[in-house]
Amino acid sequence: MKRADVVLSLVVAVGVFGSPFYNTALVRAQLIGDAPVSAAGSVIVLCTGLALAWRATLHRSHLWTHPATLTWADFHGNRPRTLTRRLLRGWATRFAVAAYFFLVSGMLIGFPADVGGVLVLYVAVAGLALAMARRVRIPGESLLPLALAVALLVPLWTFAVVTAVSAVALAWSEPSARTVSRGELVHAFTERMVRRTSAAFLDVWALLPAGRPVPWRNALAGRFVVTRYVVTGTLARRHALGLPVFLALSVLAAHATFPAVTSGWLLGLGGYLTLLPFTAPVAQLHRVPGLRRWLDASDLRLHATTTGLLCILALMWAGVIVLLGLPASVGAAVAVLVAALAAVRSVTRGPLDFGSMGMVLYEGVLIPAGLLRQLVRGPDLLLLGLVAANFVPV
Amino acid sequence: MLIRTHDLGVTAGETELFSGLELAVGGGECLVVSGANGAGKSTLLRCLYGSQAPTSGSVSVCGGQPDERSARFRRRVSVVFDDSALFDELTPRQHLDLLSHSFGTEVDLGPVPAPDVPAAELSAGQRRRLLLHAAVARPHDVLLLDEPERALDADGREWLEELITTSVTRGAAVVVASHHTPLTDTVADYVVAL
Repeated sequence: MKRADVVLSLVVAVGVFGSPFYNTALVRAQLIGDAPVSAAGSVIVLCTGLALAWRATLHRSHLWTHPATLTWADFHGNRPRTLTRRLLRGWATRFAVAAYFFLVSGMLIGFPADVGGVLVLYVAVAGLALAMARRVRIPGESLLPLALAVALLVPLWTFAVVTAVSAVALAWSEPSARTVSRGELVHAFTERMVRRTSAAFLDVWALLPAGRPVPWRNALAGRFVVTRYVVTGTLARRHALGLPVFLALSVLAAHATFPAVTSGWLLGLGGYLTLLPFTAPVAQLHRVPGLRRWLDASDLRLHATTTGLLCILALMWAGVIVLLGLPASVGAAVAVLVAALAAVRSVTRGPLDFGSMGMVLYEGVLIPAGLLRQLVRGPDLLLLGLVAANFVPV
Repeated sequence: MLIRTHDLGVTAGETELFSGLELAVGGGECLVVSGANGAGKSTLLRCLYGSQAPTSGSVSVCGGQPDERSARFRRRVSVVFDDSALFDELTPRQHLDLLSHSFGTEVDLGPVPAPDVPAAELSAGQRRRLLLHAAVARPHDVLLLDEPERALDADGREWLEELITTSVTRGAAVVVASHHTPLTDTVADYVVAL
């Protein structure tokens, strides 16, 4: 990236992300309107941000090393320091983003009265996330950030003290940067390369979660084999169930903070992101011709079955959120179904054709319109569907 | 004839892999394609499956132009290519259940090893056996195999000969790209050297 491009990107980023601070009234009118709001909304935003940052830090994406470095430049004992520096960088970025969203929500709807409690909670959770990520995994640890959902039900100070004590208790354990094996580092490097390559070539559906074995030996033996395949493939991604839970909490947090945004938009966007990991069974058949040969069924039947299953999952997910307090409407139900259709449409596009860039000159800027057209397959339906769902009469 | 080519040719960049190829393979016949690395054996098989367009000439498989995107074509033509893949999370038993109930035919486990171990944990030879067994067990009129002997041990290669013979006996047109001379000697009705 050229220096001028970096400067331009920075100016645009500061403009976009800074607007809630110098255009507060306008942003407030767009997102909140005349709806009554409570400062508790900003605490919900903070808890959601902290949970996401905590969970992302627990992925331990800092534990990788280039195999060549391990072979030729790993004799000075610098490896733990490098890994720790990487951990600190990722951790600081994630929690800075959480702090930014808390500040924005505070500007728009007001800061809570107990600012001290909020600050202690922030520091304690950030400390615990760092202490956990620097040591070896604890079974079931990825569910711990969900505990932030109860932070609103108990005094913030109590929660913050428990978290801080846990962080201190873990701080003296052996750091995994010293004990992690070379094999694990290389494996993580390979996975990282696959992700980066997929991102570089805009093959984002390669990033959908891989399946894990299902314990039912005869899962695919019997009639309705396409349905069985889709259900088994979905169950094989059960490890991705944390995402719907986080997104459900995020939708509730967004509703509490920005009540002017309708349930349809929140459930549609949240539902789309929730369903994406569970489209992997049909996505892999489109991406890998060698897998498609195992299943003798038309694309139409495959897509219809997947859409049907995803609609059921999406309605269940939305139902739980409505029970937790989000207003229900016919438009919101339509939005959820649109999200299922859009998710299937997204992952069933063919491979990107870089020969059809379709460059168009617009206002002096060359835009790869052909490539964009291929990339927005799926999100286009979501956007149009959500706009239409807003006009559905109650 | 289930497979017929006329004046078939493929050029890769500046290099002509083959040209003017006239092939005719009927049901119950086996054609082995041999040649050095890079001679175009796999390319020829891909042309027969419709996953690569030839530079010149024409191909007819099962009475029409090959097109792997067509479900009807895939139903009649079974293949084991480099891109053949397994679902990492499924066991060989689950793979064969999927195949059997999808194509509506009985598929037994046969010589497939470790039937209840996820495919991700199988060795290269075990994965190869599963792919070959599945390709022959499912209904097919045409069988295309690209270097099927790869990763197989001595027993596996003998088993492979039986497998190909079974397919030919059932009336399929079989095309095998192979370097393995004993296999060629045993199963080939015709040999084409590229």
